[in-house]
Amino acid sequence: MIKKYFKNIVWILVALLGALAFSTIALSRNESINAVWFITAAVCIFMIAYRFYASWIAAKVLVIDEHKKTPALRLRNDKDFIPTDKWIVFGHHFAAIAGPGPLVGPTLAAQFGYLPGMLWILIGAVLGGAVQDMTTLFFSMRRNGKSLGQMARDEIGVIGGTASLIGTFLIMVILIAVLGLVVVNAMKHSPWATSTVAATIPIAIFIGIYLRSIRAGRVLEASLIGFGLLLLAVFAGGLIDHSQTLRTYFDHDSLTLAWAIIFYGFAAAVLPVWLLLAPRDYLSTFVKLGTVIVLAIAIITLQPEIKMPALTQFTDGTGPIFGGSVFPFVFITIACGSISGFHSLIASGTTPKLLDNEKYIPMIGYGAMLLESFVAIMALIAATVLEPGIFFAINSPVGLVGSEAIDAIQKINAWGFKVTVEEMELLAKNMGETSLFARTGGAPSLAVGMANIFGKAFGTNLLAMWYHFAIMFEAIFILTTLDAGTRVGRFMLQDMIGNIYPKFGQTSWMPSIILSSAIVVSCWGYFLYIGVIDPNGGVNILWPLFGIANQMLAAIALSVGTGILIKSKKLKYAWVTGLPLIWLIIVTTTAAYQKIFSHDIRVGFLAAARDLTDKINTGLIEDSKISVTHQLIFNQKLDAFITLFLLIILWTVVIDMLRISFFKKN
Amino acid sequence: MLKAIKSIYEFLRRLSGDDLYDIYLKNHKQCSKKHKLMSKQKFYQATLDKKWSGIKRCC
Repeated sequence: MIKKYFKNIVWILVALLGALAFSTIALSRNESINAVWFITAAVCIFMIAYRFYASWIAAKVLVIDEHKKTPALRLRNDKDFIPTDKWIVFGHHFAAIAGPGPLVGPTLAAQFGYLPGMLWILIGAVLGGAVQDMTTLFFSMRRNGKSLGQMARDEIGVIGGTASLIGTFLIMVILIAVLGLVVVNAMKHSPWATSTVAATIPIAIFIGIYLRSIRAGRVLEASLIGFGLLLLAVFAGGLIDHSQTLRTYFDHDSLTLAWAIIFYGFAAAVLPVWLLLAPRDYLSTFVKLGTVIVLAIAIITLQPEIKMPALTQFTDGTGPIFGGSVFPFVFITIACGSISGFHSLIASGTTPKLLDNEKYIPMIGYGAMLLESFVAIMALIAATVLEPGIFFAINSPVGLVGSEAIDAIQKINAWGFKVTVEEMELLAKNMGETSLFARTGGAPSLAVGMANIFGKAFGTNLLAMWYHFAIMFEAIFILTTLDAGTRVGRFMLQDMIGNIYPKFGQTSWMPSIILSSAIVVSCWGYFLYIGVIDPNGGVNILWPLFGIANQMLAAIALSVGTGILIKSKKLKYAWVTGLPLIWLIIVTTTAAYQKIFSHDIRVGFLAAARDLTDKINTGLIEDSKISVTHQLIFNQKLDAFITLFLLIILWTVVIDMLRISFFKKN
Repeated sequence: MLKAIKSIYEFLRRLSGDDLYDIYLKNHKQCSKKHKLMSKQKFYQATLDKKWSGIKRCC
């Protein structure tokens, strides 16, 4: 009895502390706020959501049965269906869902101020993302580990299944392109960053050979050796940067680096997994977990002040990083970290084949997503502890603020954010870079933020090392996503074409491997190329497109969940998946409509295409740039078409789900 | 103390997949004698092929 009261008191205290932290964040204006409030709010809200909301969903909505045999036990084959310890499944599931998205999205969304991103990460994860992951995991487990595509086909129909397949392929293409762009922007004219990132390739290959031929399968020791080599690569990068001869080999412009990434992507997709992809993944998981834990410790011990205001004037849609107002674009920009449709592909198919008891579904499905949200909160902190002037100087593209430092500074000062050319030069020097102006994509500003935090916590004399460690940290798992995504795209394409020409479907047939890899790489390579030549930085177009595609996939997953709840006579609980679904429909539809039809040329694809056409016709474009401008016009129209296509898919799936749920007689 | 370090080490081995071959050997002894025992290299290759044949990494 006393124990029960004690427990209740603890939860009341957690709730009060969470409410205090949350209201401090929400109500604080024009005054400095400490990052510890962010961490406190996140931890308290996540604890309460997990303890009460996830448990309630498990008990009342899904009616989890801990005595029911799971697919891992019923269909055990030691190949796919393997009963596995819950903490191991948690580790695998978290490593699979947490990619670079939760680091990049919150950094970009910081242009609105810290508040919109913060609120959306907390509320979106608790009521949307974690619910989607948990319900998808449950429904997949109750269907012998079926994938989202299979469930969509079974529960909604052929349209739903096909839509999720096309949606997945599109997300893959756009995601890889935008992540490639992030890496390119982090490496452009930075011999230190480029040489360090380049060194990760031979290191991964060495670890691959070590794991296959020298000490087969000894992942732990190989990861430790690889980590040591990566640190050495960061250090050696500094030496290369200081050598006048060596640095010229690694000093490249964006276009050259983009071609290098495209070539690398093709090679990685064709090469056997043991040589490059698998060892890189071991290394990136190792580095990712280690860095995130150290970052959390550093933030908690250092308790940095947040410098970004709660809201900036860019909530009106005039932001330099990407055009568009806070509604709907903050909800599109932060997908991973709040709600990410991509997770439903992991929560169905792989994870449900490992769990040995249904009672662990909340821990894996809901809990892992909350942890990913926590990573997003830390990325938001790292971006917002920077002086806003510095943040915008790093993230504003040349097309908007000009290519000269003085022009950029004047423009940023005119926005009301203080920063000087000298400050930026000193910062670049401290970080071991020649310039930090217009380093769009989010990675460099996040790296500067992380370097500041690490530097203050562990010594400021190593700022340049910390900066390049952070760049390497981001690049290594961006490249893993790029490798893995290209390979998955290849398999999907081989499967699709295999339906028409069966030989092409043999995944090990070399002509099929080469052709399908080339097609997938060409698809994302095209968007990467356009992103690089676009003076507005490419991120302005590609990141919202990725967000729309990802949220559309989330809407499909939530449609499947809502449809199943309605069909299984649980209409009164259908709001659990239905409410986030409705929100996503509103957000995605508004964002897609604005991206296509807005008259603002930094938002609307068609308006931008018209503007460029007018500029050509009135002679405002130099002759040498006319052919590039034609490519940009074509791309804007193509992007408008893709967005419209995604919107049609979304509405078709939702309408079909409602039709089948309410009107189809079984 | 030593016991705690050992259990952390075991957990890390399990989490990273370092002990997969040991588990395979144990399972093979117990139940799947009908299949030929794979060498360490072959088992590692098979594990990777299986792992990377679908969507295994997210955004």
